Amino acid sequence: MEREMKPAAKGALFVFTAGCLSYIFLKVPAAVGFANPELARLVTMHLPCAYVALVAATIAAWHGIAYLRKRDMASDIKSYVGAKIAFLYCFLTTITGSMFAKVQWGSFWNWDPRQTAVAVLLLVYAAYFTLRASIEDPERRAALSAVYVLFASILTPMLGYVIPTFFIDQSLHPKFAKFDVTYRMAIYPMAIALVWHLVWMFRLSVRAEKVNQAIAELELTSEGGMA
Amino acid sequence: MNLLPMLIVALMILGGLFAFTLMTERRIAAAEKRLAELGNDK
Repeated sequence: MEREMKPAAKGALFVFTAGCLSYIFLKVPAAVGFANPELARLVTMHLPCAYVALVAATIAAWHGIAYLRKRDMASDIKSYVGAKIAFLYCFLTTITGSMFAKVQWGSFWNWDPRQTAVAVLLLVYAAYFTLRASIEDPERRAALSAVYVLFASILTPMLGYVIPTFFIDQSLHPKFAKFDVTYRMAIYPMAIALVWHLVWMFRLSVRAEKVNQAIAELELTSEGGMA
Repeated sequence: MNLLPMLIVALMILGGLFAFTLMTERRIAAAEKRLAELGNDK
């Protein structure tokens, strides 16, 4: 069974997150040079979401490899949960990015290479969930999902960073963004808060998946017994 | 205040994440209770 996060750790996470948020609103200055300097602070939410999506994709790949090596169903569940969290954070990155695009570039969606790449990434993860839902045999599903999640996890940094930065010249996103220290002091702690939350959510979701599977198996055997 | 939209977005995201996680905790507690009941019935 996955270890539960202690109430003190949850409280500390809440206080830390509130502290990060307070810093963003009270200390981070408006960014001169943007169409809306005040709302340039949105990057302090947008970038941490992107970092956490990458962390979750790495977790999914790590457990996918573990499944392929050991054929352990617990690794399959962890890989699946990692992919679900990666999808969630890709979605949050897109939402915060669209907000930023609206206030700075005039439209929620600009068909910018990085925006489009993240939209493709969302489709890649959606295909992963469809793949899982379409296979009934648990071992076959786990093996195919593990291979696919490796592909999705490699695509996450490729589509989110490498291709738009190094292979496409025209973009609204800066190629190598340089933030001053106040922005970095907001972005990195917020990323830590979200990774901390990811650990909590990951453990809980793995527990939920295991319990749901155990219930389904018990119900199946009791139905079999009644028939 | 010009920062209000950003405050709403930040609170929605962080509040949503915390609320979702706490709700999941409750759902697991209920599911574990059901699992124990099913185990006893068996």
